[in-house]
Amino acid sequence: MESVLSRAKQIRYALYLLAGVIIFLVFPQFISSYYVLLLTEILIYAIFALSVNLLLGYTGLLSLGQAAFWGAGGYTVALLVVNAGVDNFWLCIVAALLVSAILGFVFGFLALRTTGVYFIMITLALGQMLWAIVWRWHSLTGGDDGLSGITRPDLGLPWSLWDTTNFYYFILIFFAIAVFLLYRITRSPFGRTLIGIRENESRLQALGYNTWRYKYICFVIAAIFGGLAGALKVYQDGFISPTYCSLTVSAMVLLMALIGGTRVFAGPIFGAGAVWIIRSIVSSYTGYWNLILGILMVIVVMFAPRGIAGYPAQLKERYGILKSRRRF
Amino acid sequence: MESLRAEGVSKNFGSLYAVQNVSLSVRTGERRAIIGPNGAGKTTLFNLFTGQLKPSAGQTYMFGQDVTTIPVHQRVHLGLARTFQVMNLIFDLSVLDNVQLAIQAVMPFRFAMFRSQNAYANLFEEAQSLLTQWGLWERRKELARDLSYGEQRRVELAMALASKPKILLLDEPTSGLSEAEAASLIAMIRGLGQDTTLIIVEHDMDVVFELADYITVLHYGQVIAEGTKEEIKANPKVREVYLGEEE
Repeated sequence: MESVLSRAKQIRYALYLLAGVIIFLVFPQFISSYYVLLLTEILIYAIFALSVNLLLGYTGLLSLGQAAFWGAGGYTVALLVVNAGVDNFWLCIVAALLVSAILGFVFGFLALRTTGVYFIMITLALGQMLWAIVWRWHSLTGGDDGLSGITRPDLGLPWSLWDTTNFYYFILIFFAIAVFLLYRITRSPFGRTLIGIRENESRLQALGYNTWRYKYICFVIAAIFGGLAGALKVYQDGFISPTYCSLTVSAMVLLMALIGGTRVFAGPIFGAGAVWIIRSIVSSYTGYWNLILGILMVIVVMFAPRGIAGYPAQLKERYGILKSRRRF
Repeated sequence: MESLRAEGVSKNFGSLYAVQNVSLSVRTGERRAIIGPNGAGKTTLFNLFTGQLKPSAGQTYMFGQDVTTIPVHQRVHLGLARTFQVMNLIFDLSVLDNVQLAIQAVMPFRFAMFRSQNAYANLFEEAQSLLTQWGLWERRKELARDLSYGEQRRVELAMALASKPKILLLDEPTSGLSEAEAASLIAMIRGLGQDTTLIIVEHDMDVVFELADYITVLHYGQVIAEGTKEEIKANPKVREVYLGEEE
């Protein structure tokens, strides 16, 4: 069988991996806890953005309601810990994944009845519905006050997860697992089919694919990983409020994917990093964070439509060093 | 044995009847051409057979099974494949990707999620043999959009054959091709096994007479004649509405 990756590419990927390991594994030992915290948040948002990109970049589905799953994961943990007093971490996280999956099944079933603009509008509506529910259901969710007092998990390990660096490594493990699983999915027959659906759905139907089922499964997978990210975020914040389910969150995670580059697997990781770093710098000077984000978005769309991760390929193509092959 | 049958099939778009009360039956292994002037409803009839359109009235059958309401993708699994009049490839993927997707569509592992597609050696081998057979192996890494028109036609056919169909519908397979390209494509189509039922919509009469042994003539969505090449050539009504118009 023919090796799909050339030797040079294999070496390059190995170098990327090495760089990733150094940045994520070693780096946090040498930086202040403020930056460790920042990196932790980036990892969590990266999981979320990768899940969104499975829909957006791979399948070509633009959902404006992904905050619903981020919120569903978050609120499941918060309600179990605060209201039900469950202190078993694994129980909470499994419940969060399960609730997100169920919500994904329901929302996907409704939203995927439609395509194009209608799909976008329905995901927006469903997302806003969940937001309204957590906002209004004061007795359960605390409404606008939110829920506080979500304690970091005690896994019986010698390291306390209240320590910033320890918690970072704890999140890193989930990040690594999520990246591994999502990467495998994108390379699998299933993932390759998603790309085909993005490019030419009716052609894939004519080839014998039940494209609806692919999109549905993809939607649920994205919901599960979105829920995972939301659950982890709640453990970090120790607090949850309806903003978790807000449209702003859905929009921001989309921007992370777009800014990072939707056509490269790791793109959303870069996007999460870029957006969150700029946010932390900007917000110490001004409250107009959304304005800055908007300008950033315009710049990316105008000058680097393939995002950060797609920028090298864009340059190569422009200067004719390499004939681009958009095969991913 | 009968492969494909339409029974009183009609399709209207508003007040326009694209196909009107068409009944036809195609035997297994037959080479059937469907001809008719522009707008006669040939492609609409195709879309009714493949499920892209649902008939307003009537039934379609595959191997005796009523498939009128069965969705497009399931008909492929029953043994139906088609090509498109307007080139319909996954243009931004490589030729190899296109063909692998086409083969994978009927494989049991098409929903598999945790193994790389590259790990399925039989998928690659089948793509290799199909691409070699259609003279596309050297071009496998090109994007489908970067191929010449003639090559794209061959990819289209290779993809249709990837599911090993029992019934193959070809919608103007030689349109837009040079004479030489068309001739080589016709030779390849003629080389298909006799167990494959072939239905061709074609404008070019030479192609029709070369590929088909039985012809159905559509005019304004209705069947006006059916018969062998000789019968059709001799049919005065057909000459009037169709052949007469050909210069």
